[in-house]
Amino acid sequence: MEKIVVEHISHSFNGKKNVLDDVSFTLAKGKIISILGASGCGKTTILQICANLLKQTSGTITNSFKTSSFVFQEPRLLPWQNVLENISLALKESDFTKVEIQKKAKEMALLLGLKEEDFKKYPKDLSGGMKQRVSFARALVVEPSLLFLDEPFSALDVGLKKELYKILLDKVKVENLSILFITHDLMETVVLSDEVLVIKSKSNGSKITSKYKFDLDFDKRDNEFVYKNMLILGDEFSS
Amino acid sequence: MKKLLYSTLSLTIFFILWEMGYRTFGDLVLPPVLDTFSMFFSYLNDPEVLTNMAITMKRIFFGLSLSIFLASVLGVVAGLVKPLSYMLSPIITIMLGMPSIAWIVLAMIWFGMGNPTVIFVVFVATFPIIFLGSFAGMQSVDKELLVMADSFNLSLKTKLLNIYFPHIFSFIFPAWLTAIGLSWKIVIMAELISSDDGIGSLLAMARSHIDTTSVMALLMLMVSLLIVFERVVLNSIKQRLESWRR
Repeated sequence: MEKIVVEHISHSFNGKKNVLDDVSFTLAKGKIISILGASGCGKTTILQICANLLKQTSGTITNSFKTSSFVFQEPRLLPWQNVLENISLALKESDFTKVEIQKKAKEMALLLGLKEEDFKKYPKDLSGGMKQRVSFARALVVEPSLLFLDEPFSALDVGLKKELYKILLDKVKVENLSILFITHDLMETVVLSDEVLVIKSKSNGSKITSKYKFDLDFDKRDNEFVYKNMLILGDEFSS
Repeated sequence: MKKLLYSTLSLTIFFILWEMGYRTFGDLVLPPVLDTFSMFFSYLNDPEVLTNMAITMKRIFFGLSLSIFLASVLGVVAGLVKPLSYMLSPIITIMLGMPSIAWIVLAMIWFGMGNPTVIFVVFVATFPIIFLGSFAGMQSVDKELLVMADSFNLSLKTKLLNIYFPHIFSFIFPAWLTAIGLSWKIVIMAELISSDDGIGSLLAMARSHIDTTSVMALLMLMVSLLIVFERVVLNSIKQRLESWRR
């Protein structure tokens, strides 16, 4: 069974003050964990350490997921490549033929709600929402077993957010995708996670102060459930 | 259209001033404009001039190709390997500070008269400019895009082809243009002093005969060649590679 086990991670940049202090959690296959915290508390640092983009100062990470990909807060598209080229960026190193890559990129673009007429457009001609769709398509087209999300919904409108939640939850249900995501949005956390880790900044770096589990199926989470749990999280978050 | 009108106007004023110079100071200082033009056109059919022109072009081609290739590659490598960039930085500063004429003197001592000297001088004069363009491009690549590339575990080759090269193009291309313009000037100077063939040596000959018309017609030839090359060849490359900006 693929999983990522994070044990006693602490981190400081260049030996300065600790950013993270003794962070531990386990993400199993097919599950979604969200890390909820205020901005500047080191959420992105945790994610980058888990994604092997940053080396932790101490602690261990055991990652047995075969493949992973990352969606950032900003789309980070290559300005000199069009929509399809951007989506197929990570496929260029695969064994697929050019035709197969094109086909995969197109299918993923359509799944993410991009239109045929947008395929040849460059990022400067896309709206912010469309750029983030491309960024999601680029991450999902490699069929990752683990997806890292660094607040990718924060600049999007409500309609697009819901659309993307649905696509991701489908992937979790059908393909057993695992997701580790960070956010400061309470509603997003309740709608989109199996487990929430609340992280708070303390004198010796940020710590996980509490964990919540939501066992209810994602499609059964109605407004009442969401608001009730938002209130609980909100109390914890602001205490 | 307006732009064309104004540039025609400025050229017309330029030739009028030239002609006034001739009428005031005589043909030793400035030749008649029309004589120069007819000399210029006769050069286009003159086998001797054309042969020498080919020799000059060949020297520019070899010196410039060598420096475009080596300096661009070295700039990319220095952008990837920090210690190398620290090592190269003083050398490049020295190369930039060296007057071209000093290179010509040294090259004449090392290689004697002729091809190697002229090609070497074109090479060393253009090398630091292209290196700096390439290196500055590498330095200014968006770090966020590089983190993104790492998040997908992209190989160096994929990163070079998809991120570094398209980005550095807008830095390296102007550097190439500057280098080409410079090489045109340097080659004439080097030939004038250290070679007995090529346009530069024809210029030296015209000077020793105090033949101002030939001097001006030869200069016209070199400048118009450069303009044609820049406008037609280089612009079409630039347009093709930068289509994403429009």
